[in-house]
Amino acid sequence: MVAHVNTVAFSGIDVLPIEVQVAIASGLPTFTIVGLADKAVGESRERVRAALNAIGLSLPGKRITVNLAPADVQKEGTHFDLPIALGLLVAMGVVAMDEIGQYLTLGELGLDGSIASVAGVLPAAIAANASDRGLICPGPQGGEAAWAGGADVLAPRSLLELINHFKGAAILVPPQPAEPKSTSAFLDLKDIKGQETAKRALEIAAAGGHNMLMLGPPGSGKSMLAARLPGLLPPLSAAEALEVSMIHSIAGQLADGIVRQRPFRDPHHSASTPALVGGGLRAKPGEISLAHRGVLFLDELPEFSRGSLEALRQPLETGRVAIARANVHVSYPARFQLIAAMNPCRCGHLSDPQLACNKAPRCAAEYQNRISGPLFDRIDLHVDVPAVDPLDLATPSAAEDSSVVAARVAAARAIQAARYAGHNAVCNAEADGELLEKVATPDTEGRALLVQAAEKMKLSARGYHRILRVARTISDLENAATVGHIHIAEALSYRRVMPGRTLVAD
Amino acid sequence: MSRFDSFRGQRGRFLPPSQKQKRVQAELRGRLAESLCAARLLLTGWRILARRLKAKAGSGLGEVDIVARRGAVIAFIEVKARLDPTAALDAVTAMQRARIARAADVFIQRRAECADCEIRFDVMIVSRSFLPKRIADAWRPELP
Repeated sequence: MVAHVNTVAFSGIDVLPIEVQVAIASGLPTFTIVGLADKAVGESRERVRAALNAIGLSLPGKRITVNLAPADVQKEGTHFDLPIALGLLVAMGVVAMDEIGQYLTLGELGLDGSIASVAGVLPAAIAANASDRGLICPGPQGGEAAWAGGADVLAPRSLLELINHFKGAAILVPPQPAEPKSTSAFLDLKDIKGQETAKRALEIAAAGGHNMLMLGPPGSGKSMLAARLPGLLPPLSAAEALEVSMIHSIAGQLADGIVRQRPFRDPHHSASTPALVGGGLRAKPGEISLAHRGVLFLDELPEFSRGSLEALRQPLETGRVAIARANVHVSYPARFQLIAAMNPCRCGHLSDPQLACNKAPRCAAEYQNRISGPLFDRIDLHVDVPAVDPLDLATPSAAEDSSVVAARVAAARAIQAARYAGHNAVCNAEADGELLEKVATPDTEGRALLVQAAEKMKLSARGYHRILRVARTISDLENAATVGHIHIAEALSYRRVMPGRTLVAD
Repeated sequence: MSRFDSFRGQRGRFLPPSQKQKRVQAELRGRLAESLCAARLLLTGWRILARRLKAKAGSGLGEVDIVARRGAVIAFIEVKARLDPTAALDAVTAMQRARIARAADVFIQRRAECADCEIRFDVMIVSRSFLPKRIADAWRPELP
C-alpha cells in the first residue's frame, strides 16, 4: 500500500504543493528518500526512525521508499519530517489514510518524538485554507497558523499527541490566534530637544511614506529621530499585517503569531548585499523585504558598501525585489520606507568652521559622492540636522509628544486611504503616473513655481514627481483639497543641496 | 588440510604449524557456538532454514551463519563467540555486514514464501554465560 500525505515546499513566499508518498515493499530492510531532497531532508530519515522508536514503534523490516512528488522540485528544510513520519504511520496501518488525506502537514521531529517549530507555517496555513484542507503544524506555532482563518488546525506538541488525536484517545484543542505578547512602548518624540525642522520632516515622511535622509554632525540626534518614527506610523492594517507576517514567517522570524507593528529594521553598515536585498543558498528574504510596509533605517549611509546601496535602487522604485540565483528565482515584496542618516563629511563638522578639519569643504564632496546620484534622487526629503544649541538642551522641553503627531499622521493617512481606495497604492509615496497627475496637480501659482524650480534646480523627471508627492502629503497634513504653491515651496526646500552650494545656484 | 578448512580457513594455508593450529581451534569454537545458537533458536520456536549459507551474488560472495524463521519474520543471524559481549558486536564489521546482506538478498529472491516476510538482521553472542544472547534487529543494511 502506498500512503499519501500532503505537505508544501516554498519558493519565495509562494507555496508549492508536495505529496509525500510512502511505500513499504518486501525486500531487504532499507529506508530511502527520493525526490530531489537536500541534506536536511535526507537527514530526516534518522530523526523519523528515532522518533518512531521513542513512541515504541520500530520501522518494519521491509523496503521503505519515500518519494517527494513532484520529484523535479528541489526540496529544502526540515519541515518534511512530520509528513514522512505520518506517511510511515499510515503505511504501517497505525493511522487511517482517509484522516490524513484532508490535512496539509509540516513540522520537524525531535529524536524523542517532539514536534519542533519550522519556518513558513503561516503561508502553508493560507495554502491549506485555499485548498479546503486542514493543517497539522508544530504545537508552538498553532497561534500563527490560526491567523489564516482555517477552521481545522491541529497543533500537536509531539507525535504521540497526534496519534492519540487520530485514534480518538485525546482530541487536540484547536489553537487560538496568538496576539503578540509584547507591545513595546515606543520612544517619544518629546525626548528630542530642538530640531524642529527635522521633526517636521519626520512627520511628513511618516504621513506620506516618503524616503528621508538626515544630514548632520555627530551627536545631533539623527539616530534618535529615526528611532522615534515607528511611534508616529499608523499600525498595520489587517491585510498588511498578513503580508508582512508571511515574509517574516518564511524568514523564520515570526515569534508570536503575527506582526502587528510596522517593522523597523536597522542593519549595521557592514551588511552584505545578499543580507540587505535577500539571497543566499535558499534565497531568503533580506532586510528590505523584512522591512516591507515598514521602515528600513540605514545609519551612517556612506559607510555601507557601494554595491549594496546601489542594489536598493530598483526595489525603491518598484517595491519588489527579484532574486535570481543559479537554481532559484524568487520575488519578494519590498515596499519599505528608507530612512537614512549620515554625517556631511568624514570629520562630521562641515558646517562649523571651528571644528571642521582643514580639508573642508572638499572632503564633504568626496564623502557625499560615495552615494550615487540616482540613489540621492530617490530620497524625497533631505533634512539638515544641525548640532543642538546648548541653550535648547538646558531648557525644559515644550515639544509635542508622539501621540499628538501620530494623530495628525493618522488623519493624513486616512485622507490618502480614502483617495487611493480601489487604486494600486496606499500612500502618496506609492502614487504613480496618471494617478499622481490626477491627485496632485498644483494650482496655477504652484505650477509656475514648480516649473521654474525644476528648470533652475535641474530636477529629473523622477525628482519632479517626487516633489509633487511630498507636496501632496504636506497639503494632506493641512487637510487642504488642492496642492498650493506654499506646499510646493516646502517640498522644494527638502531637495538635496550639494555641499558648498546654495539651494538655487545662480 | 583438515576437514574444517573452508573458504575462510584457506587464508591460513601458508602459516607456520603453530598458527595454523590456532586457526583450526578458532574454527572449531565458532562451529560449536553456531550449533549452540541453533539449538537455542529451535527451543524458542524458530525454524532453521539454512546454516552456513553461501550464495554467489552479483557483486561478490554472500555468507551468513544461520537463517531462521518464526512466523512472518526471517532472521539472518551472525554468531560471534567472544568473552566480552560488547567486543562481539564490534566484531561484525561493515564488510561482514555487506556480505550477510548479499546472502540475504539472494536467499529471499530464491524463495517465494519469503516475499511477504519481515527481514531482520540479528547477532547472537556466545560468551561465558550459559545461554547465547540474541540481539534482535542489530543492524540494517546500508544502501549501495
